[in-house]
Amino acid sequence: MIRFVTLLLVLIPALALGHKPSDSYLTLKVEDGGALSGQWDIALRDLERAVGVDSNRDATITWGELKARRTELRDHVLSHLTVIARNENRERVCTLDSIDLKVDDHVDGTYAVFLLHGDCGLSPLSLTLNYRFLFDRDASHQGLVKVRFGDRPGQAVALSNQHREQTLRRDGSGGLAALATFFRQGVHHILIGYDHILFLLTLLFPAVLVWRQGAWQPKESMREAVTTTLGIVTAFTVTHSLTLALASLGLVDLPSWLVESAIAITVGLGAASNLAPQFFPRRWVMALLFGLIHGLGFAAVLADLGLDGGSLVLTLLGFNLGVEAGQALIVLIFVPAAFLVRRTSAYRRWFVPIGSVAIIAIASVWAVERLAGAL
Amino acid sequence: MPMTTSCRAAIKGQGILNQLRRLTLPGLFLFLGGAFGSHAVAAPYTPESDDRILQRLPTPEVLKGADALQQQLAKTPRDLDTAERLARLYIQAAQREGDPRYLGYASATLAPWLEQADPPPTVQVLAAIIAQGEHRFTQARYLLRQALRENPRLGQGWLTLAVVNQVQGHYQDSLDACRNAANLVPTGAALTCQASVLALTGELVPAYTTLERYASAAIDTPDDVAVWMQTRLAEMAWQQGDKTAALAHIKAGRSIDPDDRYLRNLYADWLLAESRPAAVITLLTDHADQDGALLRLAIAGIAAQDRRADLWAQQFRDRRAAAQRSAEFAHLRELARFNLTVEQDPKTALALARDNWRSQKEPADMHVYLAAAQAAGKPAAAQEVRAFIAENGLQDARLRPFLDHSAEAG
Repeated sequence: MIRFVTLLLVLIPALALGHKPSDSYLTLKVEDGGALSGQWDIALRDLERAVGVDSNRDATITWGELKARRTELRDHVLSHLTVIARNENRERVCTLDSIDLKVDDHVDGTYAVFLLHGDCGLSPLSLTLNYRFLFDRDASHQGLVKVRFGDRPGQAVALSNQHREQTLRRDGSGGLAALATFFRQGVHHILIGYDHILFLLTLLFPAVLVWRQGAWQPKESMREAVTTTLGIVTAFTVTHSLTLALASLGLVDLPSWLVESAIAITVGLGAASNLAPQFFPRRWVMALLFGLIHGLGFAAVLADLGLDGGSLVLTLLGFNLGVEAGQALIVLIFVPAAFLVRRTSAYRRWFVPIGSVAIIAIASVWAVERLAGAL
Repeated sequence: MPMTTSCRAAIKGQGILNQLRRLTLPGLFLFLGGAFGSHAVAAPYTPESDDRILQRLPTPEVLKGADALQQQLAKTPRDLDTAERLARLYIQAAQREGDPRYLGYASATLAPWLEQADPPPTVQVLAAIIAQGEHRFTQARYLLRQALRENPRLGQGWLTLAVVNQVQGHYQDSLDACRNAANLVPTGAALTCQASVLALTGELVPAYTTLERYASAAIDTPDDVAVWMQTRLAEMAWQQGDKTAALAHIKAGRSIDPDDRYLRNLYADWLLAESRPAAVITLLTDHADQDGALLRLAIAGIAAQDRRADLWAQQFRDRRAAAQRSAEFAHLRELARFNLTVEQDPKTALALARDNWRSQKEPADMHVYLAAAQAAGKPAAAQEVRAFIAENGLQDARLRPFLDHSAEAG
């Protein structure tokens, strides 16, 4: 029946295989002078497959067994990785060595960690990685590589049996490219961030109006409307940029439930100020104060995108510019439209108050939800 | 249940982003976020003692003979027969243990032949099985067509082609492949192949009756074929709404092979449908290393209010996040189900189920798509599934609630 022993596999192909496939994690950093450092995390199961670590064949790998074979393991893995550095007119194979061996726990088991150091002997404009580890024993293995040139943002590539070689350029995703990446993220996150948009719109509802004799009246000139808008937006921008920077630098660290609850409350207060503007005479002051809280919210987003490997200044700058651009887009769409309809009573008597009440309701639900989440 | 979601968000310490995600489209950001985060969690360390066990190595029963074959192959590296036997063992190990590493071992074993300009058809069939196991369906089909053009007498090849076509909803092609396999594989296998397709195309009852009759009469069915047959019978019975018969087939299959992973998960689903989460936990606790089992543990854990529920859910999240980094062949169906049931995030579930539908069209794929659309309050979003079901005349009691609902709504 040998012909059909594989029948079972054919049966149910959509059955998810229940484990992670084999990956190694290689992180390299090359300095401007050519010095190389990094680490390479390789699953013990993969080292067992490649070289054999379980000396006493008892189906367990102990630290003693691993240590005893460290030289062979190092020689094996390093002989399956070549790093070539190039500048304008020269290329050199970088030396690579690993003196220190440690271990680390990943979700799918323990990995050996080879701490790497080496020298490329020139100031590289590009690095070419040729990765050959394990492919002859596991054709589905992948090397997940992250490379940094000095303080530039990390660049990630995956090397597989089909794509064993990859070249990374120093300017590849450094400088402007990184700026552009985080700029896009900033735009994206302001545009999908309902609560930030809502806060901004709430403050801008009456930017085309003026509170007189207990009611909203239309502003006469575009100029007035623009001045008010600019005041609000600038105030919001200044303070949220400040707290975004402080939080990203790790100087301020508030629990996320507090920040997100506070953001919900700012939205509600913003809406309340439209209903009773006599108690909130200077809207730009409100934008200034509440911007502090929203900046912490942006910082949470940025932290989640992963700052590791990136130059903090460029990342922050790019992200913040993106946030501002997204915000400007919202303002440029909303304010002119509101200006055009400002004289209608539908806008003044219906849209502003009803919209504000609705926003208070939404914000209250958020606030309760987010506070309850903390309990 | 907004409170629980928010609660979980706060626990994860990324509440605001979660809120943003929940309010907006991008389900996949969730995994992206997790993927970036997971890398830098722990720091490398030096174990304090030499005796510290760092890793237990799996020793699957089916790989007992693998070392000997490997040594033989080292001596005679051009020996195709040995290489194929070894590759088959690895494929079986992947199937049994649910560990994709073994598929990589199988490919590596066959690499010298696969790299040839014109690989032997038998090697191409094995490569196709590996590709199918890694959800690379298009490549699997390509390899099979080449192999079967050169040698149309490869029963295994036709069966694999039938199954790939069935999974992707190409029912006529699947049926043709089953017919081509008919005289080349054991009768039970050919019948199961055909009945599986017919059951999805409006001939559920006759297909079930025929196969059921064969199963109870046949005496010389090989074990692996018998398990496959009982699995399909269980699914067909359940499709008809006959849960008692479904259970009987599950038990019959499990009595032949108690370690069959697919049947175990099917049994767990059956128990979940019967609201017996505690039994699911008993059944699967020792198999939490497999994602399919972990998913069901997470679902059962919530239902049974087991204190490990959060742990299982978090483990599932972590593993998916790690897998995401390597662009692993996605298990979108499982992810969709997890987001629907455990995360209570029908929007994300719906997006995942829709992506999944591009490559897989089995009843379970339909179910998660329909259920996610309904839970998201957008039953019409799964219209393409209903069209597909109507077009093929598929009957399935498990899907009926979603189909009736839409009839009322629209």
